[in-house]
Amino acid sequence: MKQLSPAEELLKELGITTAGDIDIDAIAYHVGAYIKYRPLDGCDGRIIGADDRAVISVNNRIIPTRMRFTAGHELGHWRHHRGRSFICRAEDIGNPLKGPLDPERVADNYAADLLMPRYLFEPLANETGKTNFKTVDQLRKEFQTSITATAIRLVEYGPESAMLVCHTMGGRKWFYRPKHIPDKWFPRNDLDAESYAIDVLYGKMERSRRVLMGADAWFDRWDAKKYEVFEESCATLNNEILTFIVFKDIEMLELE
Amino acid sequence: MSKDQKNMREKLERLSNSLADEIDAMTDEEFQSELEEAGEDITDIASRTRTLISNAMENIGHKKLIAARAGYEHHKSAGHDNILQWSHKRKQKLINQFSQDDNYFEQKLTMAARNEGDSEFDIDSIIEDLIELGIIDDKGNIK
Repeated sequence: MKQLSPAEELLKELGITTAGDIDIDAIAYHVGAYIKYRPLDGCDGRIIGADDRAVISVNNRIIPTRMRFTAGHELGHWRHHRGRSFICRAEDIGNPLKGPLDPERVADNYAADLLMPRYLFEPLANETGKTNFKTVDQLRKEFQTSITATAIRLVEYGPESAMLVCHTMGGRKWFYRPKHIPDKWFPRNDLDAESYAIDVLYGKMERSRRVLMGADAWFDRWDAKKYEVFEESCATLNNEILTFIVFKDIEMLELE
Repeated sequence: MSKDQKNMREKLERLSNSLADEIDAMTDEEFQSELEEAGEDITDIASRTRTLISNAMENIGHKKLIAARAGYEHHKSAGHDNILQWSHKRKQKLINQFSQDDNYFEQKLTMAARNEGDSEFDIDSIIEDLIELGIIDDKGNIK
């Protein structure tokens, strides 16, 4: 049996066996934190704790999936950084650019585990058989999560070996590569002219189809020309696009 | 429940307790051979027992979740709108006093304030939370 994370242990303790049971307000209340949805100007989320009780504030002017993730993020602080109070701005929450030990990243990981626990997410993801945005749509409806958070999770626990790259007009913003993909596959900063991701970035289409592309369109490595990958892009909020790069050749996953 | 029924239930409980004690006292080998003699499939029994325990744990957990939901709803309906009728500056001073013990919080508070122009609403809501958590009283005294 796979080891459960602290968030998953909490879900098990509360007998949660379906995505629909993940009642974030009740879960928070069970661990002594009361969630208030209120307008906040300087941040998206905040937690103030004293002894074994805390009040979590979530900005109610953000989209519902973001509110849910923010609540999970603050609960992450409550689990891992008890005794301290946190004010979390938009860029602190759901930001893959933060280092793994950064308290905000730790809280993000907790939120992902709480809202999309592996023991519920993996079987549903594997049923679909594909790491693509159609699967993301199905799963985010189930788990009430954002496109970005669900896509990251799908790359982590999905049925295919893939990585997720985020681009803006300024180039690559961040990327998420699961542990089993060798780090020699480092995505290029700029988009290749042949890639359909460009059309999505420039607003010609909301989403591109999943197509085969030469791996050298995505990776600036001498041997990239030998391989092909599937690419599929999707526009998200804030003028960003997400692209799944799915590894078709098993050889690409071999370490040097 | 009639007296007879009660007596019967007590007898059954005593019987099941004594059976459980007997099983507890057996070694694994004795237990295994007894089951084999009775023609039982040990793997099947183990699997059924695991399911039984896991279902029982889920049920208990689910009751905790329902209780937490009820607690949350009750808390929400109680309302906790304690706002001090103080000047903005005085409220800010109070929050600074509170945050100076926590460098990280103080830094984020300053950043949040700088970011959005020191919202009075945010300050009021922090004070409301501090009162709710009993960190300060409703007159603004740090406890």
